Amino acid sequence: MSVEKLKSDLEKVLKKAFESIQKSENSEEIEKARILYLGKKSQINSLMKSLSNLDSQQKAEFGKYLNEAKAKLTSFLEDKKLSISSKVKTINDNFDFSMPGRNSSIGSLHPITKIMDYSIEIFEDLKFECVEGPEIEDDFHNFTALNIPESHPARAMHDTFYFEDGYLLRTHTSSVQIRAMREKNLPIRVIAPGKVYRKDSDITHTPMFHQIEGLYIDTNVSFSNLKSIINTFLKKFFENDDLKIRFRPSYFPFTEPSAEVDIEYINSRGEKSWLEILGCGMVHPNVLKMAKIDPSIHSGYAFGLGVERLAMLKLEISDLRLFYENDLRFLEQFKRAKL
Amino acid sequence: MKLTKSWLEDYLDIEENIANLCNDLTMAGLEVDEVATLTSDHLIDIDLTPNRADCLSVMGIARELNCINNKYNLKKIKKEIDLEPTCENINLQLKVIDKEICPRFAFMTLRNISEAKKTPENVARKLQDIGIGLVHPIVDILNYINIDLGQPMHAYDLDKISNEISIRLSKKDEEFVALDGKRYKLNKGNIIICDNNQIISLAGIIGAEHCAVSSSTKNILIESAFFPPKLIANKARALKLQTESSQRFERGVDYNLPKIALKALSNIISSNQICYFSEIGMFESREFLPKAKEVNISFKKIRQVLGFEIDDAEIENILISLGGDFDREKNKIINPSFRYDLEIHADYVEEVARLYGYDNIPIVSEKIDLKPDAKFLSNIISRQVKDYLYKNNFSECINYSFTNDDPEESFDWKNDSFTEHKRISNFMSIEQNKLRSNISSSLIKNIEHNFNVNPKESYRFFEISTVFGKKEENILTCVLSGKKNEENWDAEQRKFDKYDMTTIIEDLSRLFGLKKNDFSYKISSITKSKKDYIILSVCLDDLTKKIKNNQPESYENYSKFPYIRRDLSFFIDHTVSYEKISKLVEEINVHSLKKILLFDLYDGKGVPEGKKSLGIGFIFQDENKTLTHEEADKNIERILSELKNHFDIELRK
Repeated sequence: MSVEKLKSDLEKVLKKAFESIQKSENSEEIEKARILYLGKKSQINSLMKSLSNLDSQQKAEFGKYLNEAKAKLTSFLEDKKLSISSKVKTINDNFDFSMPGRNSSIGSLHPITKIMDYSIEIFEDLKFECVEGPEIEDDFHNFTALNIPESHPARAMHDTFYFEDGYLLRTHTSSVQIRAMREKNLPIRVIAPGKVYRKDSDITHTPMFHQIEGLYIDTNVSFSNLKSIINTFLKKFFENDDLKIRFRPSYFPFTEPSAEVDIEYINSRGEKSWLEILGCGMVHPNVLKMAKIDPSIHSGYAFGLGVERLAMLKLEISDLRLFYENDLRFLEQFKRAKL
Repeated sequence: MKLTKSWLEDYLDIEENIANLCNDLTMAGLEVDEVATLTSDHLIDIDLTPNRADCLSVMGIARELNCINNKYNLKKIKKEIDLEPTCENINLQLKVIDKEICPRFAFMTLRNISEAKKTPENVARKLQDIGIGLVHPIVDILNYINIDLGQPMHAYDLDKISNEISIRLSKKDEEFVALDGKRYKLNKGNIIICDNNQIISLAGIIGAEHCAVSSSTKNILIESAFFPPKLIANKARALKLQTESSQRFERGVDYNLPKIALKALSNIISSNQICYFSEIGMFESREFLPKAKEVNISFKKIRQVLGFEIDDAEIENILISLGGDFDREKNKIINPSFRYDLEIHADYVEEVARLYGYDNIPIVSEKIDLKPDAKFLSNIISRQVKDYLYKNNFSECINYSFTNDDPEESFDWKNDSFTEHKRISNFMSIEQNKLRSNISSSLIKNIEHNFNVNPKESYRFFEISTVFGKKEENILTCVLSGKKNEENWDAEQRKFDKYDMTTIIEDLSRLFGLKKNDFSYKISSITKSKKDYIILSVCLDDLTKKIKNNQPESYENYSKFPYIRRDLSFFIDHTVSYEKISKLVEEINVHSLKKILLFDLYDGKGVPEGKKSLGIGFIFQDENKTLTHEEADKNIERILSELKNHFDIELRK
């Protein structure tokens, strides 16, 4: 057998081998090609065996040729193997897109918290600072400093829970504002959110509820400024620039002039009515005096919001009692991060 | 205050329809609560604010409407005529012990009242329209005048009292039976009217039963007096007794009315020929009548407070319309006798704003020159804690701060036995008679409620609230109950345990850059009605304080050299806490020890009695060089020998 013939046989095998390695798409095919072209029973191996029939010069010549070819093929195969193994590919499994996931980890925030935080954020944007104070108050901070003396008929408006030591549960967070006025430097621009208590329990009252009260004291604070801040807040809160708002004269011992604010409310039947939403006014000079602020230099406005009422309107909750039953069927409806 | 439109029309020309009339009242601060339609009339219910005593009469509301808008034209006020008396007044011997308690006392005697006489038709209809029942012709006329003019009067059966009357303040525990048939025990300081024998009336509030007018009454003494608001206020309420009369006196009745009211009475009696009436008798101490208050008006200040340019003329017109004395030259104003609420400048500012119309005042936004203030820390922290918990499957609850005497309430939030609850003196129900000192019992009740109405396998509740222990503290409490997961195709089904709470503490520490022992908290578990509850309470005030002292977050260089890990598995006594072990390891202060990792805790089969098996990984890494295995081995040997020195440990094979 001539070396020429052997070489041409080898060329044919090599050509097929390179092609088939080149075509391989995965490690199984590569392995098949390896066994077929480089394995013990491969043609290349049998060509190897035919070396014994050659003379020594031919043996050396063809042997070298064969070995080089084999090395080339091996390295080509290894390269291919590597390129296949590092290739990015989609894993085909039985993933069911429609299956529910493992347990969710989203709980719920109480709607009072959500409305409170939402309102606080609006006021913080309007540069109000949040302040807090005790829920057990003394008579001075809850009444006297707010121009509600012992015999004042307005005390009839506040049915108050008392303790034996004469202390009481605050009936409004105005008491926190009194503390702010006495402790902070002017100008003061604060809101006081928190729990308040009144001795009242029926369909429209709970003995504990939440308030946000606001106070701004500076030189030249006016009633028209108060109208502006209330308008801005209510329009932002109800996300309605066309919200109809009206101010009505009212009476609070701690403000003069005092106002009650109504918004226009359209029920499901399309009937319009006015709905009382908050009370406000210009801080009474006696309140300023008691906080050691000179009413001839400084003036201020104050307002108070009932959080439950806002929540009922904003979230369309019809029954006040739902807030304090803590029934998951109610609570779990409030999972969203934003209102 | 209820009144009919037609009654108002005794005083006013009303061209407006009922809707506009009510709107005008509401927008001037006399909020119309309800309007009911009657046959050819309207019943208007006005929710009056307590400062407007002057509007507790039809005349007062008519006067107010005329101020609001002069389209409501006051008719020539029906002048009561001075009539010739038809009988003698009694020779009343009145002794006012303390002059200031009754500065004006007018009276009139009515005689010869016949049982056959009926309440005048006009009076009866008006009272019935506003829901006041008829009692007795004279009493009905007094009720009518009370609503019409706002002067409460009282009728005594003249034949049941003596003519020597004294007015004084009550002593504590004096008793009297009122005409509502109830016996009242008086406090100190009620104004009482007595004859020679006994109390005949609780002044300005209610008369006594024994001398009340009845169908058989022949002769009557009418009292029409002025009592100072301060001495009536809260007195009726304290006795749980509120009358048309007390409501007016405590808010302030015009001291000029007593005589006018008696004159009105004589006019009605005369024109309806009900009985004989005497002239008006009067005792008074003028120096104790309320003083008119003079206020200097500053137009500039009014404009400044209202925040817009309102003309002088407009302000003047409003001030004049109020019915007091306004001196244009000196800019001084004196309040009318019926407006007790006009005392200081701010009161007049409100009148100007109110009668100008709040809705007509422009909206002007303020120019704020404030540095953005530091946000209130505790509030922000609560918000972040709530956000973390809600995103970790907890549901937030809000419960009342009130609680009852259940045994489970007798622990404070630290789970220490607690007896010093704040008790409410005037609680509404025994279920809410004190303030809670912990939140967990509320949350457990919430879980029980939910389990009863809508059972689930897993409950995670939390609440942040003030609790009232020895002091007010802001507390976060989380309660877990049931299985860690709701039923799910893959979920691990194990019960909650305390380590679930440890995770929360560790997360909160990480969120706020603290170590888990930096702030106070308590983890406990209880069994109630065969259910287990795991409870975590954290003192947010304390957490806030710690966060305030926190260093700001900053970057530290990390080692770029490889680490070596060595593991130790050993048996150790159950009573040795992990913290003791980790603290000891920390104290050995092995230079290159980066991290300790508890990878196994086991106390089941194969572990000797009273022991647990721990698997701890130690990760060594040097800042400046590659650590050798020899160095790592040396370190782990040192740790092991220290552990052996301090604890009874047995290495596991």
